Amino acid sequence: MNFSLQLLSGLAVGCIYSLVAVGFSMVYRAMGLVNFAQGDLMMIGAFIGYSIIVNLPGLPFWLVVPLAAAITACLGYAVAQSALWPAMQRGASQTYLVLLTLGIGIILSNGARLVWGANPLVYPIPLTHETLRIWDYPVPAVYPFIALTMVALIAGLNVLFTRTWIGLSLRAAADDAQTASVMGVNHRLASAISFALAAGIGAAAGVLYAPITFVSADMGMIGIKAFAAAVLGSLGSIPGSVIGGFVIGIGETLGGQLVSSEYQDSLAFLLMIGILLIKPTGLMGRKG
Amino acid sequence: MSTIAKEAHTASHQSTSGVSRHRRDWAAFAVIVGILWCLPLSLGGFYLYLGLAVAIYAISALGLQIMVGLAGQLSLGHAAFMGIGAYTSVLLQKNAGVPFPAALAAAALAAAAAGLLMAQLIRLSGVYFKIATFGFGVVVHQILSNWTALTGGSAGVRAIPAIGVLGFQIETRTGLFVCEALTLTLLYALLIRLSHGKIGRAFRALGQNEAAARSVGIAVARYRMMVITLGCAIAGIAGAYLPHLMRFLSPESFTWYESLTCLIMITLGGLGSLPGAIIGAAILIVAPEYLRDFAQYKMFAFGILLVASMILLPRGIAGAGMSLSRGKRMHAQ
Repeated sequence: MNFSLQLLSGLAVGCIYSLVAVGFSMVYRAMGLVNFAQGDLMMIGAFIGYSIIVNLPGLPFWLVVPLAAAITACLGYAVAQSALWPAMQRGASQTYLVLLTLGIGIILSNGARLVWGANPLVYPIPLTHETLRIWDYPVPAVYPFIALTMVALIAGLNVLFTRTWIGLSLRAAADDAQTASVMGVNHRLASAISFALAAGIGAAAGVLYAPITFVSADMGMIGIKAFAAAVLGSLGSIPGSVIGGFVIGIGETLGGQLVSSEYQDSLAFLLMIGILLIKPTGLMGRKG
Repeated sequence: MSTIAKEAHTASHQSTSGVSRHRRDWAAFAVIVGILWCLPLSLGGFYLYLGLAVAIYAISALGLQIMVGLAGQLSLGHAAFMGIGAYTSVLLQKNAGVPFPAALAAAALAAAAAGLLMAQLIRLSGVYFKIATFGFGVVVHQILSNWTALTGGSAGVRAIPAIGVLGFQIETRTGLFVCEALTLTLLYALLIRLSHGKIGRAFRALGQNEAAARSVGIAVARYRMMVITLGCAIAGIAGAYLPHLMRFLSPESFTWYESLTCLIMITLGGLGSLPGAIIGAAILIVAPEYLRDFAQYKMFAFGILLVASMILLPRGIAGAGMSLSRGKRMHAQ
């Protein structure tokens, strides 16, 4: 295997980690919640994408992504409103909230196993097998999709958070819920919207990741590595999540080549632990 | 705000009724230990097998309970320490002919050492520590699966030697059960003693409010390290028994799902309650055995059980039972 090719595949996987990590960070900032179900929402998104492709065979891939994201966002909204908000309202402890999101994750991943079956699925579209030639290297045809969506989503989020009224209220509610509610921002709604946005972004990542790999109920494990990415880049910081995603993606791909591919998952976590021990607040963290 | 008030309320409630709480813990101990020694041995057969499995996970859940429920140090890699204990004990018995009690001690020590290593990560605060414990679990599982020369890799270890104690070979399940039940009884008693002593109070303070614990002079970092090491050592002891029950050892017994299952056990039983850990372990081991036709729904049902019990019974089965009995007593008065 060629080094440049490995680097490209690391970058592509890094994009996926970044997107899921951005979701982690958004929920952490908006709700102070470590959402262990984020990876499972990404998995659900990938499965919903599969159902869309099977049921609407003519739909172009670039429309499947937002459609699956929208459906998953609705699911995320329902989860936030029904399960998470009541617990937060009660002032539940961090341990309790983590266990709650873990429980939601188990329900999602095993529910998906019951609905879509235990066998890994492959998207029945040409994109799964097609390759492009970039500088004479064969590259999976989905890579440009991943790169474009990534750039578009991050740019979109940036505009949303800095230029729109909704983004301003979301940030206000995240920074100081009480003051924001005095100003007329509905904290409950803001939390649920942030959670839904994060779920939608995760779902987009899941649909984009599916053509490189299989869709299976265990896909949520990717989400945990994405969590490592978010932590490594400083939890709550969106640029940090993006950088963290690339560090983990490229680090584990190249590291897997250099050491042994069986230890790829371990490398991702050792990388995270190592960086955190050197810089406890993460790569983008402020001192203090 | 409301939690602090609630905590203060429960804390004051606990301190006024400290003596009665002590008595209640030992009453629960008597009931549980009585059931443990009577039921599986008198019923025998399949029930003995169930009893063996429950006892192993009850030990493991007790370890997790003092870490998570009592001291608030959430670990997402508990099964990894069971794995370290299991492999240490089996490999010592099989390759070096070490007698079981020594292998058991070695298993506890190895798991404690690994726990101490993981506890070094507590300098990563809060959230960071949780994800690091998850990472620790993944790393251990990958080492167990891939270090074929030592562990036999994913093919596992077969021909687990029988337990040898003081020159006797314990071949029967009854004998194995007696060893396990003894271990569980002793550990449970020790942990009750510990939870009512100075260390237990420090652990509980840590779990309720770390900043407040530090402000009253509790050496927070040292107690956190202590409780993590202790919890992991107990998981190692539980792990050492597991291969003797299964007659087979494979890394698949120590995956992320097993860690999750242990967490569900203590949450369902009641976070912070020692009897709760044992009750939770019993339910999560016994129920799936009787619902084998629905095996594909197992984890799904566990997830529902976890979320439902957190919403409906925030203090778990043990907590609900306790308030029920207290309510009755109030009625009687």
